Amino acid sequence: MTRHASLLTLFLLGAVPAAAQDTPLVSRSGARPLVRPDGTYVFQHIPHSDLVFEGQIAPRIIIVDSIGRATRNVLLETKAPVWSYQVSTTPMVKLRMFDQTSNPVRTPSYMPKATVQFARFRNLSPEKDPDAEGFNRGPIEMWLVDVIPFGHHSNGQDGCLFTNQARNEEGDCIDVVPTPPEDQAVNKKDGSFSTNYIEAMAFYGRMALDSDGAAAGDYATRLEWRAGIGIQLNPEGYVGGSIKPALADRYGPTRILFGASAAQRGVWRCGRASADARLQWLTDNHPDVPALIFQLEGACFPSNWGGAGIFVRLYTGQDYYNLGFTESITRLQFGVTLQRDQFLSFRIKPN
Amino acid sequence: MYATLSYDVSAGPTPIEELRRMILEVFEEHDTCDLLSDTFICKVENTADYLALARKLRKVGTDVDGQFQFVFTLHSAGAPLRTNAPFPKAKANDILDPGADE
Repeated sequence: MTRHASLLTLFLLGAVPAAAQDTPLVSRSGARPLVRPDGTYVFQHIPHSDLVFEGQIAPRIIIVDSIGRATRNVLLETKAPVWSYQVSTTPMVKLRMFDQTSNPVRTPSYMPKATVQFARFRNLSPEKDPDAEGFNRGPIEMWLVDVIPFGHHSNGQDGCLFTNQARNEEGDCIDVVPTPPEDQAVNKKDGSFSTNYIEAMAFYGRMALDSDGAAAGDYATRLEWRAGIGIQLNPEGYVGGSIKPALADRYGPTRILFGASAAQRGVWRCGRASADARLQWLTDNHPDVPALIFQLEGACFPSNWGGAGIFVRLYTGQDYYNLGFTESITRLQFGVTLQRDQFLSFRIKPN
Repeated sequence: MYATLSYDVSAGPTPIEELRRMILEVFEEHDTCDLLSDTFICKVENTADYLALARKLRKVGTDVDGQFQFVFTLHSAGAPLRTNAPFPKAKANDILDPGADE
């Protein structure tokens, strides 16, 4: 694949979700909002390597949603909580193109997943009278449970995972050269990587609202934050394509997740300015990689960029790119991103 | 966005002229308001601006003890104005969709 063709494909694929939305940064009340989507990215990193670019294509496809309806009821219910849910799927792909002969994309991560979200909203405004000026400003409290009942991560290759292995007549990979597990080298050319996972995270957050820039009849989030904790499990035998024992021993199949984020609307030229921190603790990590993965990302989405923005991210810990699981990396990544969280809008109580 | 006001004024202790002054006073800081035939329309900045006007109108209704009843409705910018009476379209568009000519 040539470099230019790949960049064009990535640009076109990434542009579709943003162009399809009327208000990419702020969702209207009643519309199906994007809450914690993975986002699409194209980026480079320092320190420099033989990477041409890295990309993540992750359009969120919302199948069933009641969060939109809930945003029409939160301010009506005064102090009563409003429950909602959303079911979505994300055909996520991560890829890295390398500055080698013919610029290979080696080996892409295919990461389709289903997501179920449950959200509970409540107006915490000290005002009790819906006619009082501060009533519609919130803050709105949100409990969010974000569950991935099924997520897949593979790289579409058919070679054996380690270089000292070959397939026997039954198609199983066996050691051709007996090698202690700690000395096995990963086959980075066509080694087969595959795992299925379950993930659940619970978040608590708040949103402060105002009506500047919101649709008619709405108050939109001006400032929001949330923090949460969760777990990811990669069980053996969980549907076809699940993790094999040899990979489980080195991948770190159980992970405790922490996350915190904050975003504000209308900061300088950013229609959305956001910061996001994530920490993963691999409870059974292999000695080759540290037990902690940390990333901190800052992003700015200019109001007139149709949902696109620029970002900088510090990442340190186990490489997240399929066959890189035995390596520890520290990178400062920077580039373009789009289709991210939308600021929720809430319908005011009618007169 | 813009808002439309439909109202009914009845005779009572407050003189009609005084009541009319009180209603217009609500909108005195909004220079893009106009009475088009049978419909009073007014450009509003945002939902909070609309709610503030609605609160002031409600206070007028309370102050005159039911002599003034109204329906004040918020519309998105560019949303069509529905009225049975003829009205000057160009004048209305300045309020209904001020960005359309830019």
